[in-house]
Amino acid sequence: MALAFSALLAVLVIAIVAIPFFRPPKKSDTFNPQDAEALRSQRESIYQALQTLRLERELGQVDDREYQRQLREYRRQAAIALRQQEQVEGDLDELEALLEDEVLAARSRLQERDDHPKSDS
Amino acid sequence: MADLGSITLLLSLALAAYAALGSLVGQWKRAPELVISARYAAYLTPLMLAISTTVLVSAFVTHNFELRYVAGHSNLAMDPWLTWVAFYAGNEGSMLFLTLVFAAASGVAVWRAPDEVRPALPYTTFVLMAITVFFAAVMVTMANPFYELPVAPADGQGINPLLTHVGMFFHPPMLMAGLIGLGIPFAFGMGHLMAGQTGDEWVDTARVWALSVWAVLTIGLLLGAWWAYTILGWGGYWAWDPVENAGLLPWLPLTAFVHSIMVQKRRGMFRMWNVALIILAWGFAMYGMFMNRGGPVPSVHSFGQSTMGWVFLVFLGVTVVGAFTLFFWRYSSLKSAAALESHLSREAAFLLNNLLFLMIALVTLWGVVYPLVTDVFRGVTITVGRPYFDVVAGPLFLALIILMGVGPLLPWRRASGQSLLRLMRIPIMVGLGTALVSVALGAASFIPALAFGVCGMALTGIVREWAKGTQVRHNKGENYALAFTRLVSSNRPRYGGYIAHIGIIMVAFAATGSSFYSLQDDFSLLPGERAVLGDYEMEYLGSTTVVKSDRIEQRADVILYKNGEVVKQLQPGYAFYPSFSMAATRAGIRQTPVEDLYILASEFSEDGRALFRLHINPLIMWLWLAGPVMVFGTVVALWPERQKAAVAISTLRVAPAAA
Repeated sequence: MALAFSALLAVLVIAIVAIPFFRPPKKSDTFNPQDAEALRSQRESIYQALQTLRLERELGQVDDREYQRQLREYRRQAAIALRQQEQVEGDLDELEALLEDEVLAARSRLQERDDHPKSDS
Repeated sequence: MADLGSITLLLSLALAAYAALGSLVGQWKRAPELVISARYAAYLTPLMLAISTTVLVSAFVTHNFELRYVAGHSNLAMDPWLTWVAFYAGNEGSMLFLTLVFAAASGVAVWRAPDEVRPALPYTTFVLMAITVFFAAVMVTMANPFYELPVAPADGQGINPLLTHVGMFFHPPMLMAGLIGLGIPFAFGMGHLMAGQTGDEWVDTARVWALSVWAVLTIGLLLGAWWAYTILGWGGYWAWDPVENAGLLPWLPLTAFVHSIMVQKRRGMFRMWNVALIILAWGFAMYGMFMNRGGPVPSVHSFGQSTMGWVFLVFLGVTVVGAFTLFFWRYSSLKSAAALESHLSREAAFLLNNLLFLMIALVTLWGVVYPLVTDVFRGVTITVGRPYFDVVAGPLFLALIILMGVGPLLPWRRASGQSLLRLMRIPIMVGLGTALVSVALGAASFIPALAFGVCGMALTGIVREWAKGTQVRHNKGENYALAFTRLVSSNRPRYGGYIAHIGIIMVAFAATGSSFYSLQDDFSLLPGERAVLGDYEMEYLGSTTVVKSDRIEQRADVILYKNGEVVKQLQPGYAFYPSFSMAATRAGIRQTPVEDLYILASEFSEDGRALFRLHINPLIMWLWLAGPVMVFGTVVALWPERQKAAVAISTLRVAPAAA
């Protein structure tokens, strides 16, 4: 009984492990969106730094001059991060527009085929 | 059923091996199907081990003494509630537990890996599964819990008496999970290096795992101290025993890591340092395994010993040498993104904190290996005892507590000496006040007064930060309760860390009180006689003997008086286990926040006379309370924050001049 169950288990395990070889990988299975993720992380980090800087100033740990100096620097970093993000988003917009055009073209081709069916069909 | 256990063990080994190789080869050959298939195998590995575990636990429940492991660690007289403890009471079961915990944590780590670590995930999976392969292979070849005896005995040997304690439900599993769990942040670090990533992609994930492991390890160590206090019968909780030290050693670089990883997260600094720290912590964790499973130094934890220590020593060598080789190979890509701007900054405080932790780790390691060194080079074993550790590690711990008081008052990047002095004024005054009060209350010497003063200063530094932050928010219109809650939730890692710091201060407070103010005396009493220690008086009423199937219990009935009034009735005693020739002590303890009265009873004579050892251990309760405080702090620090960055950064575009 235990041996039969073990054999069944082994077959099941092999079947599960083999699944990826018999189906195309989903988009979420492949790793790529590095740029957007890195930018998100960078933005998050600048935001945290700003929050902490404000807190430290309110707690009296940072004087006004130091606060202004660091604030200027973080703003500069934030501006760079925003520019890079806009660049990436711009690229994505461009890709999205391209895709949209492709879809519209395909639809119109289908429409045309429906409107003018071939004579032999 | 034993066959099912053995087969699922083999399946788990095969799956882990496939997951390790598949991840690596799939990444090299750019074959995503293979990488995903390997990932599925990583998810299935803990399931197979869970089946093995279920088979073993059910063998204990059904008293299946055909299995050598079950016969060796349980018997018919064993209370059913001890089944869980018996499961990991020996080498084979504890190996299964370790492998299951690690494989399950690895599965979760891979499944929940965020996007930023995904490019390195196949390499991380390789490291995680390679570790799993090692443990599963050792189990299959050297410590198989499903080994069947040719002839099943009628009854088993029984469980080790020292393990029949409620603390054993949690202490060994927590400590084992903490030690093996270190492999998760280690694997993310190694995966990061193998993938050739040069930034801080692994930092957030490693921080979350490292903090979780830190909390588990801390609780494991504290529970071990509690177990030693209540069952080993020597009146203390930490003896600097080699195996205790083996549990403490990885905790030290891990604690340094959870601090310095914040500097990398925040400023992109300490990149090399953090990788080195996590390798060191992992190396010490493996060293702990080696000590526990056949280490060459005698220990009170002898029940965990076996002859396979050398296997762990080899594994320790291979992983640490391999990891440092990888580290030096990628050395040039691990340059910090920023430099230390000032020695008076939070980053500098973290660096000093790290150095202190490492110094403590080194002196502890030296104390542990010194007997081996003298044995090898001089032919005599010189044991290093508590005085060495107290003298060498004590001041370093005190320096850490001082830093814990100063650190929270330091801002990131740069502080002015003037503002630091202003912020330190109240904590220093409170610290001095605490020291003076402890002197007035009879401080034994300069050192405990200094230690209490430092605890007072550090606690005030933290409370002051909370009070000031709450006041600032209150001034903006929030009521105090809301202001405090929002202050903490606005920066959970920071304030969660401070809560954990309070736990550490509680540990220091308890350690100082119990180390410098304890009293102890021995008494031989006949029924009806009394003994006096400090403000306490103990009356011995008589003894009771209870014979059970596996043990003989001897208990003394005593009444405790304080300042002439009855405060508690206690039954200290011990249980003798003939099959183990071993006695397990049960101390009688009256516990209050101020002090414990701790009673041990032994040597019961036929005329009713009994020997008693009485201890007054001040402030011990704070040690046990520190555990939940530190866990709570860790939970606060790990609680996910809402994503507000997009909005906040966008506002900078329209209001650049505000400030």
